[in-house]
Amino acid sequence: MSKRPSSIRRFLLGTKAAGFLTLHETEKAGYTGSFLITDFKGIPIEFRCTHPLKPDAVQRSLYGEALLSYIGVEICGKPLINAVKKKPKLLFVDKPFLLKLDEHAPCPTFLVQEIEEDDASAKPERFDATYHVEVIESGYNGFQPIELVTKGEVKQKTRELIEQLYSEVNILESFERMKNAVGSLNQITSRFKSVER
Amino acid sequence: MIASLRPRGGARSRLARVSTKLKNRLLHREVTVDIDAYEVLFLPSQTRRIRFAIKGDVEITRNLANIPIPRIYEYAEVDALAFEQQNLREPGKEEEDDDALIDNFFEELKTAVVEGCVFKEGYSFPTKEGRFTLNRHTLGVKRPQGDDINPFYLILPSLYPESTFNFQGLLDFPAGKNLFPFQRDGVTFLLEQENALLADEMGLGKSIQAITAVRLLIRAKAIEKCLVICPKSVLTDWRSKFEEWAPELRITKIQGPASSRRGLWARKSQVYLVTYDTLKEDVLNIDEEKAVQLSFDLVILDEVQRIKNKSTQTFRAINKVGGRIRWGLSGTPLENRVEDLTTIFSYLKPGLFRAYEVGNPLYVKSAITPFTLRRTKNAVLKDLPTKTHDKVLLELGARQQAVYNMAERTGVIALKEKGKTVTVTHVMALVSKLKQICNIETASGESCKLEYVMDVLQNLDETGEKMVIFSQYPEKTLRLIKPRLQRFKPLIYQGSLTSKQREEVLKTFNEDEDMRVLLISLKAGGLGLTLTVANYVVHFDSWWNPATMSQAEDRTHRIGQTKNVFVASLITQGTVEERIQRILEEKRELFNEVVGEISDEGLTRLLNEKELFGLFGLQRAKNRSKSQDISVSPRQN
Repeated sequence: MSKRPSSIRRFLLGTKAAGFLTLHETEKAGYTGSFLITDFKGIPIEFRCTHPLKPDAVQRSLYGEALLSYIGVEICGKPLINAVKKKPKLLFVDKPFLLKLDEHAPCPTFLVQEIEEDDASAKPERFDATYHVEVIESGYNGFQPIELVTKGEVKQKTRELIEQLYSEVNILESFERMKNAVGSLNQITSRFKSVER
Repeated sequence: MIASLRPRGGARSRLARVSTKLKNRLLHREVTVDIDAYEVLFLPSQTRRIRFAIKGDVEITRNLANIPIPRIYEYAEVDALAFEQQNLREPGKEEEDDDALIDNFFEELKTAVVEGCVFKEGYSFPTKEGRFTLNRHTLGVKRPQGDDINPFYLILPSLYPESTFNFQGLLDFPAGKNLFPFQRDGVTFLLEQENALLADEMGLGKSIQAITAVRLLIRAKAIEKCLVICPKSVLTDWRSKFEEWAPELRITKIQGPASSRRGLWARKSQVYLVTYDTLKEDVLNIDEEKAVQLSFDLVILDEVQRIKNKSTQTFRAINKVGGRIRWGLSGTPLENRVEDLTTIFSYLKPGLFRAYEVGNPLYVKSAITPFTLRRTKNAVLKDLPTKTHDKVLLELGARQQAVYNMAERTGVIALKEKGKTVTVTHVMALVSKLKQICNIETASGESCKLEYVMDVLQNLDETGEKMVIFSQYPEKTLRLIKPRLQRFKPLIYQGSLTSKQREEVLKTFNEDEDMRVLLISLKAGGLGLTLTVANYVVHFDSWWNPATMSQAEDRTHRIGQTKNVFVASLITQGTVEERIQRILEEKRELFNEVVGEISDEGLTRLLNEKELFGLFGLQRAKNRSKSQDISVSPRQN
């Protein structure tokens, strides 16, 4: 007979979570990946970030334009996704190249973008036909509509989840939180000084 | 404009070697690189830099992410390649140094270290009505707002779990890695002591216990920097153990040419690994400006008996290394004398002994007890397979016997002729010569010991079990018997091999079933290696100190060994080997009476001059004022 989970465990199991993953770049510190998981009220459940990486001149030369994508997906993104204990129902990223994490994430992945006022509905040219662009409006909190880019069509159930989340949580603000937190970490904690590679 | 400077003579060959290696390394990566011309060019000496140049017309077609890159620089200057020109132009440098130089240069982007935490979930407590749960919302966790964000709202309670002796749930061990209960006790012991000697018997995982303790201290922010000093043979082993048991820690292995090492010391790491010899060179550099100043939160001395002698440079060097917390690891801390222990503790726990107390074994023993933890396999690992010792007395073959008799007779005559000028060194030289003849008679190739080994190996043919053979004479014994064991595909492990070659030998022996025999120089391979793939051990000749031999055979009898281990010490009848053995056995009992269980592995030879001269029926010269112990260590090869 399987052991009945404790009340805390049941509570945790029942908590719906959304993940926000990004890659920060600062001239001084280098690149830092971070992953915040909140519940659907925006309260943090788990936070992970990587130590800063600073590629050297040889690495920059050899990786060329693929450097950002490689660091964001392979070096930081995948380990971050593997490290979290709480698996989110939705994953949001704020950089186009991080959309590649879709293949590794345990849930649908969305690129979040502010809608440009002059052309709110146009599909950005940089995404080919396999990508789907969806505009989401906030509920009673009245956040600005945002554009979500994802691979393939968005299922109705997923869309409802996103709307439920966006009625409570400003998705773009979550990325701001991480940016500020990682910036502070770089200043406060000597261990987070960048590693020159 | 890049100028090409043609190096002279041997330097040119090294330059060519490094260039080729660079090129191969570059091409070997998953990067598809089309380079039709590739050169390493020297700049004029005043800049003291090397430029890494990829000539024009070069296209890198694909990079790691398989994305086309249209063009790369005509000349890419690489600032990071700050190796002084001099480095490349030293023709005498080993290939190993080349590798270190190139490794630093083409370091891959490695997977990032991830840290973070799970936030408090809430509290649950019983009430009359049943359990009541306060969740995160009830607790009113402050929601961060805009610019007012405090990272510690996110990072609370801490980026690192607090130090605790209850590992459950707080310290995740890598998959498949678990400590035995006695090892957890060992970790607890280390965490409680700023000055400690972990003296567990060989094979009980001292290094793993130390690594776990280091990991806990670093995660609890109790320490930031740790130095591990160890013998050369186990440097790589330490690194791989750290990677296995504490993959999140950043490790720097201090090795390579002196100029590179200065950079390595400056590199930001949590753990630095260095050998005793390298540390000695760096800390005791004659040029004071070049001497490295070292201070760490924690210093770990592996095989701490290396600092047992106060007059050595190693001891001086270690004493220049600052460390708030100091741990020593050794299976045999008390090799020769009680004074060894006091010297070891003079670093581990300065001020523990006053001068007049040093000579009193009982006092020394009681003083170090609170700082020492020793467990034996019998006590903690009841399930470990047994180790059976067998002293094999062999008879020399006719030819071998004749040569031996002649050598001993002429040797003794020569010693007698020296009269009062005869010294311990002369006697030792004769002992060595005779022992070598007992191993193998070079002219005829006759060797009763080799015959014995061949017989055993043939019996092992069906089971496919492997054998490790130790000798203190790599050149004059191991090299000579190797061709005769060809059928069993022997490998040789000795001090003259580079670190890379040593790794390869061990890897092949461990992984290739056909490689049945490993010939090991006692000095080079007696410590730290893990050879649990073999379960037959042969001591081809006996070292003065049984503890050294015991350490060597425990390379096979340790955690991971699934079969019973059989150890055979080969001794030839009626020779100096047998005489030495007899004296050592008498000494063993005597020594046990004085120092008890602390030294049950550390049996000493304690052969004084009188006994040594007595081996050949000689008397100690009367003009020597007092008896002195002969301090000998295995010959470095």
